[in-house]
Amino acid sequence: MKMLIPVDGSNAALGAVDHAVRTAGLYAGGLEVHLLNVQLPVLSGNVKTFISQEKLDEYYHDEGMNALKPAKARLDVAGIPCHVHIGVGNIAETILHYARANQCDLICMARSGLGTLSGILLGSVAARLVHLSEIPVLLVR
Amino acid sequence: MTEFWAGLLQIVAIDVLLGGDNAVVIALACRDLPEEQRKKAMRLGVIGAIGARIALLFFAFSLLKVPYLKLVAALFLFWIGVNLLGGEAHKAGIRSQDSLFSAIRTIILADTVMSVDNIIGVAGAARDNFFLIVLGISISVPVVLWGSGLVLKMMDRFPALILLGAGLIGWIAGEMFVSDKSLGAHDAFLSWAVPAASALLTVLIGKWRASGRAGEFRDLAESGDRKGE
Repeated sequence: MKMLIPVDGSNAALGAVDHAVRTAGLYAGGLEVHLLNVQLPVLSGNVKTFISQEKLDEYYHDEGMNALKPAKARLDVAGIPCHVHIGVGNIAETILHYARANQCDLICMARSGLGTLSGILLGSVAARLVHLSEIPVLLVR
Repeated sequence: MTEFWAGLLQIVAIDVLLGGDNAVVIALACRDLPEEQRKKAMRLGVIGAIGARIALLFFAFSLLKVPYLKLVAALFLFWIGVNLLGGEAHKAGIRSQDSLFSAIRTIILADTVMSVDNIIGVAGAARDNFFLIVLGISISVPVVLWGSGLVLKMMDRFPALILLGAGLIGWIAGEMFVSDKSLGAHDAFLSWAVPAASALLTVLIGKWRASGRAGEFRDLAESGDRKGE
């Protein structure tokens, strides 16, 4: 069972990780988790004039690693094999891309998922993902 | 009265688009600094950005009365609008050893250039209303203070908003262009046709420059592993 869990470093996102840990025993073939953090891209040329691509990539990498760390720690403690990914782009589309690229059987995420406040203000990433994805999406509260 | 509110709305949009960008640059430039220097550098960067806006405010009005200067400002603003939709990141040349120095250099440059953008945009949208210009600059202050990330989130959720924003900046550039006294254009047709064409061109050129870079997926966690994470 390959499961993709998108995390943003929030506690809500860790709920999905906890769910994976709790239910890991249910999968006969074992569970393999792909953790993904998606960074919002800086597209504006007005910013890129002053900040080099290398710097931007370092920034994405560091921010992504920070967001992934607590989730990875929980999986490591539980002894569940996991891979980490950091993507840059539209959140829902990037999640779907990584789920496909890694042939995941399931996407598991917190319902209010990526950013509680922005979830309320800007609409739910989960809703968009459910709409786009042909891979089953499991929403955890 | 409607003109006042339309102007105000345009100004808020410009402040968010250009002030937010400024805040992103300050935040990114300070990242490499050690913790204790970072806070100080960010604070100075923000003070610089706001200070430059206030200083430029005093020049904006008198400068925009100089013949032909509006034409130049309009072209400049047009380019800002195009650039908003995407641009080539410059390659990091010689990496400065002294990262405090390079951060300060980046911040000062960005503060200056982006404050000029902001002022020209606000002055264009405010037309000749001094109150609107002052209000516009006041609104840009909280955006610079807390706006990094704002534009990024907006762009992810509502990509069309940024298109609209670029179009708006293009429109204001067009208006500024035809309003230059030295052109002597009083034609009613020109006063909307030029802004409209300018808005359309901004969006088209911006889109064209941004195309071809989307849809590329790089896994930055992997490159980090190789660095020996």
